[in-house]
Formats: sequence, structure tokens, C-alpha cells
Amino acid sequence: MIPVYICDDEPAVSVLLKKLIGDQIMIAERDMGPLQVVDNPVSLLELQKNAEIPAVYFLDIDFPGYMSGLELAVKLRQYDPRGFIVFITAHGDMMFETFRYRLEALDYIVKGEPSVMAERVNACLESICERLMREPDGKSAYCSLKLFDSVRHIPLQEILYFEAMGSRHTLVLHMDNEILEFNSSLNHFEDKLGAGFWRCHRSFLVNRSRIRSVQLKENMVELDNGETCLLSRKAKAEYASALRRV
Amino acid sequence: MAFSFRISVVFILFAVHALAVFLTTMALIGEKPRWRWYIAFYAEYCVVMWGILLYMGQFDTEEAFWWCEPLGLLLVTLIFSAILKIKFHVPLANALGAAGLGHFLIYTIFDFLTEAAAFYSPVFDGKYLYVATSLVLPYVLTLIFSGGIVFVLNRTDFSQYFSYLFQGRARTTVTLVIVFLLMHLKLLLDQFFPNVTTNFSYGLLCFVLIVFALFCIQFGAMYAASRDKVKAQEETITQQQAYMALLEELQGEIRAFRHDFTNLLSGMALSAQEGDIEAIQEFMRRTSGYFDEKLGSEIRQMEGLSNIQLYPVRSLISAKLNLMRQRHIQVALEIMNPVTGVRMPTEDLLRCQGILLDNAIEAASREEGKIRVVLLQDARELYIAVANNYDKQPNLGALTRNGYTTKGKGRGTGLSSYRRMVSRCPNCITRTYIKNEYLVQELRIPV
Repeated sequence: MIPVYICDDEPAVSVLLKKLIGDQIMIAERDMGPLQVVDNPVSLLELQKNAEIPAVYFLDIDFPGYMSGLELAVKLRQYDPRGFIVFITAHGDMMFETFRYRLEALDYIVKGEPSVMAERVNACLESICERLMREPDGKSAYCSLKLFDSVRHIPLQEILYFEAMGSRHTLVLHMDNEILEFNSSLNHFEDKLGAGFWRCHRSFLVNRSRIRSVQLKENMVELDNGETCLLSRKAKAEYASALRRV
Repeated sequence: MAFSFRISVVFILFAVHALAVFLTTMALIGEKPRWRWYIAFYAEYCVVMWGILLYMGQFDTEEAFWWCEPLGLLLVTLIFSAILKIKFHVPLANALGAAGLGHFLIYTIFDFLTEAAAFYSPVFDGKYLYVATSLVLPYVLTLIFSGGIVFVLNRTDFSQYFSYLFQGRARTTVTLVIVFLLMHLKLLLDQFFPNVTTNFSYGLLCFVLIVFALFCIQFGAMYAASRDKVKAQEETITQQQAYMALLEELQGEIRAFRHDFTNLLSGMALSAQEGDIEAIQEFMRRTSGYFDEKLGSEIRQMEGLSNIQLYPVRSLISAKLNLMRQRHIQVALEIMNPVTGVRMPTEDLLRCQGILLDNAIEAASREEGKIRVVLLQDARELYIAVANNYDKQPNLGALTRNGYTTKGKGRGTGLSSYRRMVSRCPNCITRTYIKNEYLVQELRIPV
């Protein structure tokens, strides 16, 4: 079950949303609940700590007297990096692109006609369920990265390889449809990730489960999306001796 | 004299010489000299020089091996510049130039001083005194002179001008060739004018030549720097003009809007007088989104731009917005908080942002281009995201290779220089991903 939270300081909106979301969950028999309503960010942060994650959050953008929706979302993300955040707003011209990219907010719902809102709520829940289906269950392995003050959990099977760049300890992490460049060392990840990953070169650490072929002649490791990594002489020797043992 | 004494004297003299060269070179590239790298340089210098000496020692005649010394010099310079490149992240050309020039300066000064010492010193009987005047004195003076040069270079911020000599391929080549010729000046002179006997006046000539050469280099570099500065200012002016154009356009639209709105209102006033509630409701429904539709995006963009307190960045973004508008690309610009500055040199920040925006403009869909630009600064970082839609999904794996481009040969240097600049800035994070039909480039820079 995935908990769902509504955080809005206008009772009329939160009552309406609660009804809409509850109905949609029931109609489609979604694996979501319990549905909780709070009227201020502080109690939401407390509630969040006592329940399962990931969760779904429907948040108002402004809370007069409290922190802004943006700050709240940043705090929620710190504890629940994989949660789903949907913003509720009174006007269409909010800074949604900022929320979308900085916080990876899922969508936003404009307050107004209940039937339009219901449609939007349903679309949100649908896409959340779809994403959860695609994601592996929570037990599969993750690689966690600390980026500034947030932590990102990346499922291991999405990782293709790590590449060390230049001399300033820059690592490039290649994933399906994503490239992430940050400061760290390859040795750190080699130790942390263990046997599932292979140091096939001084500056490459590849995910064994994503290797398509090892081309000994060209000194290359080909991955299942067609990208290639270099193969060092030392790793080649290791590989050959492992083959002989088999 | 004892053999060990001679050997140790040679080592000490090498050390002094290497120190002088090292200090001068470091001053030329504007880095703080550190003992560690001096020792590395000294070790390298000793190995090469002893190798050459031992090799030359096998033969009796010196003439046949005139190429040994310059070769050794070249080797020392090459290895030293490699050290500089790896440890101080100086571009190789700059390092080579600095190392070469450093060598040239110190060699020439040393040459001059040795000549002078030989010329002036009275004849002594004692070997030790002879050593003192012909060896110790010139070396010590060389060190003092190099100290003086370093002081002057540091005071005039010469390193700043020095790097201007290496901007662009042509300039770099010319500079390197000149440095190379200077390094071997003495050898060339010996080759072409073998009969000229060296004496004190020759030394003086050399000395004057150095001063003149230094002056020329400084002048050339300052000239180049000022020209670049003018160019940068011109660019800023064009960008400011783009910003002004944006403002004027907005003003024009407001005027048109005011005209429209007066008409609309007078129409409604008529309905109100007649008590036609339905017409009024219809009017409200139609016009509620009107203002937003007409001016919303421009006003939001202006708001965003005015949040950027770094003026060069503001002008850059407004220039790019102008370009996007010319290409009929729909753009959403969001800058919620004031952008005040980051721990990255402003030139680098500008170039990074320029590259990201240019790439987005180039790659955005031809028919219905859409670009989203987000800047968000908080207490810890500046977050920049540039997203564009595309006609053909880019290959992310190939994006990180040097020279990847969709535009044919010779292009695609933007992304690789972007990556170089980012990796130069400690603790920066970049992220490239594809989500919902958009290619998103994120850059996070610590504040």
C-alpha cells in the first residue's frame, strides 16, 4: 500500500480533493492508502516519518505563515526521494517548470471545475501506478549517491557503467537515458558495489549484468545498448584466466 | 679537490639553477610555487642533465655533440611542462611556453653573469677562491636576479597577460616557435657566427636583448588582452541591446493591449447599461485568460530576467531569448529567486550557459520548437536546467564522446568544452537525461 497525503490549508479544497482521490482509488481498485489530510507542512513532515515510503503527496503551493510548497517539497524529498509530488494551485501561471525539473514533481492540478480536477487526479494516479509497475520492487539493489544535500537512489539494473574522467576525480555515470557527472572516485564505487561490477579498465567500472559481449580482439566491452568501454590488458588477462577455469 | 666534493658542488649548482628556472616558470604561469613540485622538477632535471653529461663524457671532442645540450634542455622543458599540465592543470601550450621562456631567461642571465665574472674577477691562486668567483657568485646572482624577475612578474600580474599569448591556434603557434628559438638562441648564434668571440659586451647585449624581449612580450600580451576586452565589451553591448529590444517589444504590446482593452471595456459598459447579465458573463469568460495569454509569458520572462543579478548572465539569456523568438521557438523561462553568483568564474558560467542554450536552440524541433529554462538559486547551489524537445531522439551514449554532433564534421566542440569547464569547477554536478520527449541538461554549481 502506498500512503497518500493531501496538504492544503483551505478546507474546501482538501475536502473536495479527498473525495476525488478516494473515489478514484476505489473505482480503479488501486493499491493505495491510507489517505490522510493535513492542513500544514509541519504535521505532514511528522506524519511522513511514521509511514511507509514511497508515498504520494498532493501539496498546495503556498502556505501563508509556513514554508512555501517548494521548501516543503525539498524536505519531503530528503526523506522520500522516490515519492510522487503533485502540486495544487489556484492559477495556471505558477512556476511549474521549476518544480518539474528541480523536484521532479509529477504534475499539477489547477483548482476549479471538479470534473476537470477529477480527470487530472485520475491521470496522476494512473501514471504513478504505471511507474511503480515499471520500477523493481523495493527489495532490489540500489546505488545511493549523495548529491549536495540530497541522496539519490539508483536501481542497479539501470546502471550501465561508471567512467572516470581526467585527473580531478570526475565520475560519469552512464544509465539508460541519463548521464550523471559528479565528483567521486571509481575505487569508492568498486568497493561499494562489489562483485556485480567489473573494473575492466583503469577508468571504467561496468555493470556485469549489462554486458553484451567482451571483444578480446578489439579490447572492448560492449554493453547491451551498444555502448562500449575500454578493456585493459590486466582485466583481459583476468577474464581469460576465469574463462579457462570454467 | 675530492671527487665527492666536486659531485656535490655540481648537485648544489644544479639545485640552484633548477630553483631559478622553477620560480621563474611558476611566476610566468601565475601559480604558487610548491616545494614538492620543485623537488620533482629538480630530480627530473638532474636525471636528464647527468645522462647528457655522462653520455658526452664518453667522447673527447665536444664539437661533434653540440646537439646534446639543446636536446637535454628540450627534454627537461617537455617533462617539466608535463608536470605542470598534470599537477596545476595548465594547458600544455602555456606550460611549454612558460617552461621554455623560464629556461631561456635563466640561461641567458647565467651566461651573462658568468661572462661578467670571468671578465672582472682578478686572477687568484687559490682554487677555492677561483670557484667562489667563477661559480658561486654567478649562481647566487642568478638566483637573486630570478627573484627580482619573479617579484616584477607577480607585481604586474604578468601571468594574466601570458595566457593571452596562447589564445587561438595561430597565436599559440607563433608564441611557441618564438620561445623555442629563444631557447636555442645561443646555439644558433654559435652556429651562424662561430668566429665571434664572446666577451663582456656580448653579454651586455644579451642582457639588453632579454629586457627588450620581455618588454615586447608584455606589450604584445597587453595589447592582445585589451583587444579581447574590447571584443567582450562589444558583445555585452549587443546583448544589452537585445534586452532593450525585449523591453521595447513588451512596451509595444502593452500599448496594443491597452487599445484592445479600452474597446472591450466600452463594449461591456454598453451591455452593463442594458443589464445584459449573460453578455457580461460571456465577456468575463472570454477575457479572463486574455491578459495572461497576451502578456503573461513576456511579463514572466521579464520578471525572471530581473531576478538575475549577474548582469552578464542576464544579457546573455536575454540575447538567447531573442534568438529563440526569431526562430519561433516557444520558450518558458523560470527564475524564482534572485541569482547572485556562484563559485565558478563568471566567464566559465557564461560559456557553459551559452553552450547549453545554443545546443537547445539547435536541437529543438524544427516545426514546433519548445525550450524550457529554469534557474533556481538557494542557499547551497545554483540549479540550471535547459530542456528542449527534438525531432530525433539524441543518442546519450554518443553525447559524451568528443565531437558528437548532429550537424556534420567539424562541429560538436561545444559539449566537450562544456564538460571540460564543468570538470574544472570542483563539486559541480551535471546531468543529462531524456524525459517526456524532452532532452534535459542540468547543471548544479555550489554557491
